[in-house]
Amino acid sequence: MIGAFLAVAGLEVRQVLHGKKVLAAALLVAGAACLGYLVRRFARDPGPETWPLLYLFMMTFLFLHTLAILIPLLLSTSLIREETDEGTLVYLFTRPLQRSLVLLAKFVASLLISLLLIVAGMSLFHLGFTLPGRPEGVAYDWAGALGGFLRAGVLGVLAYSAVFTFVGLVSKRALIFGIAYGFLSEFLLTLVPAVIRKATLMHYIRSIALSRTGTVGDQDMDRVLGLADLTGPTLSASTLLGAAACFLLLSMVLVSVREFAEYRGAEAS
Amino acid sequence: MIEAEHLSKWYGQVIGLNDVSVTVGGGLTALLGPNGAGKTTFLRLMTGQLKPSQGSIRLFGEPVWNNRRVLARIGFCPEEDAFYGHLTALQFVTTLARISGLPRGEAAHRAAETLETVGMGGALHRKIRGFSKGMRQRTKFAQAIVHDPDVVVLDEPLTGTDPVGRRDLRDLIGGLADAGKQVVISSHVLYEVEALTETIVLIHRGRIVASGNLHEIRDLMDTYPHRIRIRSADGRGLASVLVERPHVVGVEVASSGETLTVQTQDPGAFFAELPGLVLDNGAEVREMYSEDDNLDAVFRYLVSGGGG
Repeated sequence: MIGAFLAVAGLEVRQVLHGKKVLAAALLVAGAACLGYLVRRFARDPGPETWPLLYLFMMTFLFLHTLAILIPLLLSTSLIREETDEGTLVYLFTRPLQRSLVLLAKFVASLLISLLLIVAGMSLFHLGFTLPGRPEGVAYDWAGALGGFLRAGVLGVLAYSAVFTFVGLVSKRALIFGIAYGFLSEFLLTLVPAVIRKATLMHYIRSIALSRTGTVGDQDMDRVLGLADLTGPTLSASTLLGAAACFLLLSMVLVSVREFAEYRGAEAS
Repeated sequence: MIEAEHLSKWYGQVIGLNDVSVTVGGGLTALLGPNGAGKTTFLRLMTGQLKPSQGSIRLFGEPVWNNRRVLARIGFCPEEDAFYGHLTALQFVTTLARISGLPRGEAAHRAAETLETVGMGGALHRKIRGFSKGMRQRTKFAQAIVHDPDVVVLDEPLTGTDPVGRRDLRDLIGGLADAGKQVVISSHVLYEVEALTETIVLIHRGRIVASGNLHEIRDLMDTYPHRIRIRSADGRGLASVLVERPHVVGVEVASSGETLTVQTQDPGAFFAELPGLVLDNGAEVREMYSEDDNLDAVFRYLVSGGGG
């Protein structure tokens, strides 16, 4: 069974790597990473405490609010749908590997690629922003900040991948629904204070990312950023892991009970 | 042994299969019916892609849907010309062999061997997206048998193949049956399966119309009055001559007087006698064609009860 699982995962990796979506995602990641270098290289020196603010702001909006949603959206919504549309799902679903495991193998494969992209993107952005002469006179824990973003990025991609896998199974317009959910709902609701904000995954992702904003001189970056109601990193991580597990399990159940051999022609009536 | 009992499948308002009860025994069985008859639905139920809306379908005494034990013993070749085009033939068949449970090394070995058997030995490392239709059919066939299944289900495997490819595939399919496999093949073309097997199941509009020996079903079909349409300058005159022939059971003349539709129980005798009748009576035949030279018409006849 492990061999069969790995074979499906390997097939998914090959499929993703041969597709256009991964190329588009890689270009966006590269673009975001380059932006880090360009800003750091060409921006006029705005003052020592502004560099970390700029770093935190760009990491948050480029990677957490955009790419951590977009990459899973591109790769996870189509796990089963693409094979249904292309007619290849029959090769997997007429074999003696449980459908839920077929889905899980495909999920793991696409998740690994998504994680690779987001981690590589964040790391390259960090290098571009900090390497060409760290902002002089700024004593800031850049590596600590990167660590927070990497943890948030990994957990965020995991959670969104599970959500979008589920969306891809229940909706034929998963991309549109995903865009509306990921870029509108998840963004707008994080602007709403109190309990409503906590109904979004993004709140917990940001809570993890910004849990180690640190200080610049005597300035506490938390206060500068206006972060008042972040959830603790442990609870945030647990929430994201729980959400991922729930949506993944729901998807595995759904794929086991649903038929995917769709009616395509004039059968008897 | 494949057993369907009161098996029905609905797609919303559309009936794909309607209260089918049939037992398909060993050897090679052809599932024959016109396009849209419900063949693919039946094969999808047989291979666990669909679950019955009503009734049951069992292989080896067990239900098929979500049953790993049964699926391990089935090989399925779909009708759709769908592939992972970026893979080579060997990668494709090896991957599917591994998903069927073969260990990595054995999967690669069996895949190469099977592709060789189906005549694809020279294209093991070529990408499938560059294959001709015939090569793709062979590759699909290879993935269906690579794990040595007990039951091989082939959905229209001969469609789109050239005459040589068709003969080769027929030989391969016949070879499977000779090797003791249970083979179920669907087709909408009678002559395609005639050379393969005498055991056929006729399906039409989601129902099993007849099943059994090909010769018995041929007898049923031979009682079917064939309709032949003729266009002649003197349609009425020709009709009056034709209606006297013993095998002609009906003649209709269109209002223009030029076109007539003849129903005959013996099309062979009709076509043999027609030239003489035309010459003897000085009638001019401008156009002639068989109206229902297809299975669909025969099936309609059988369904209506005309075939007994």
